[in-house]
Amino acid sequence: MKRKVICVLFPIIICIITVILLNSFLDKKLEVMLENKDLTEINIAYGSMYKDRGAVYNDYLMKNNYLALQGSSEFVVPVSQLPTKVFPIKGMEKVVTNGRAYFQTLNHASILGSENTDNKEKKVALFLSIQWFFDKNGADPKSFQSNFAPVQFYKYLSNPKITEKNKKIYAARMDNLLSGNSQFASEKLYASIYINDGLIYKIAQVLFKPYFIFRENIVDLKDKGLLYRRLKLLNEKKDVQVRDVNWNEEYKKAEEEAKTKATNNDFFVDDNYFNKYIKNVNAFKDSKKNIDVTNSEEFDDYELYLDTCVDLGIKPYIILIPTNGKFYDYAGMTKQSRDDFYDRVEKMAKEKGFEVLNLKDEEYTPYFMFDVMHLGWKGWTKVEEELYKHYN
Amino acid sequence: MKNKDFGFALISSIIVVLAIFILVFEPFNDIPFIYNQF
Repeated sequence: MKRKVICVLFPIIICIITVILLNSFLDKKLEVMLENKDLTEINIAYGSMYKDRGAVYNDYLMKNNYLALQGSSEFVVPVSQLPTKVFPIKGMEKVVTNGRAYFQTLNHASILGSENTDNKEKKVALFLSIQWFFDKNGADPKSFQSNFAPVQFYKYLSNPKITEKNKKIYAARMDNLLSGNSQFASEKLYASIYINDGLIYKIAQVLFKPYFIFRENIVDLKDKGLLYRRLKLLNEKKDVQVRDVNWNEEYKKAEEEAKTKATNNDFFVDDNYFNKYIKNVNAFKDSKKNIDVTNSEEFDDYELYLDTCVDLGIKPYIILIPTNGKFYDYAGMTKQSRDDFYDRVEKMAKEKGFEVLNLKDEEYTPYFMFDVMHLGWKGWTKVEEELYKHYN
Repeated sequence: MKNKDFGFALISSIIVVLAIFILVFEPFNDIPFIYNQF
């Protein structure tokens, strides 16, 4: 009998030893590789799993004073003024993008909450889009799940710097947004247990504890393991000369490029975008008339993002991305309602002591937007100039 | 009997170690069919 028990325990002990040794191996290797490899490819990549769905890489960046630009699909518009093409420049040598399509404030709160660093100079700029607030329920569960990262989830909930109140709010949102997804059933259960105090949940907490310890360690190891594989493929770091930027020249170049790209419509949007999406312009008349941008759960998520920053000692620079004013007027969303929205989110950030770049007065500036919602030629140049001024 | 118990412990341990390595490094993620099996 004794021998049988030992034979059952043996693989469990081997499992624990493997996890500990592998973790130690990866920590040592990653430390060296992150210092010596040229990380540019990852830093400018759009939709990178190491940045958007990982923790260890973001941790490294934050510890090393990188400026994290947190946004969504605006990082992939086809213009030469994208930050991934303009930076690095003198004064802005370390810049990295976070986020891809369907990222909203909750995803970015997860990234920040999963970072474990005492760096007091952490630099973060959030690109906030009004479109995130169009749905009454805020983030769409399916879209949220496509960007969800278990490693960030567990790290957020075990981060000692985040208050219990904010962790409960976060877990409650996760419990709601992860419904109906079998891939993240573990995290959904963990969130349910986290927010409920009933006897059944207490029993479940005890029963599932070993499983969650295993799961937490495995997702952490997976984050490190995949990053290790990626870093192995990168070249060694080289010294790169960064250029000086003359912003007036950049504006001129932006306008020249825009004039060749936006020629066939009165909205000043890119020709290809216009032909593909809004050529049948009559279909959009008053199409956004019934959207109530003052009533969305995204406001609660945005509040949680700001509170998470307060807990972590981060002072994010909040950039309010405008819309294409002409198009949105046509679609029936009034300038007044949009301005009320911008002013409200600006006030929320300022109440927490954060600085805001409110671009609501640029909604009718030609070539500011690439399409109806994403920054374009002049828009990106303006934002980059403001970022440069803010951080220098 | 001894050998049977020992064999079980050995094979289980090998499977556990392999499973951890596959989970962590996702060696088959370039081959969609195999990758989807995990």
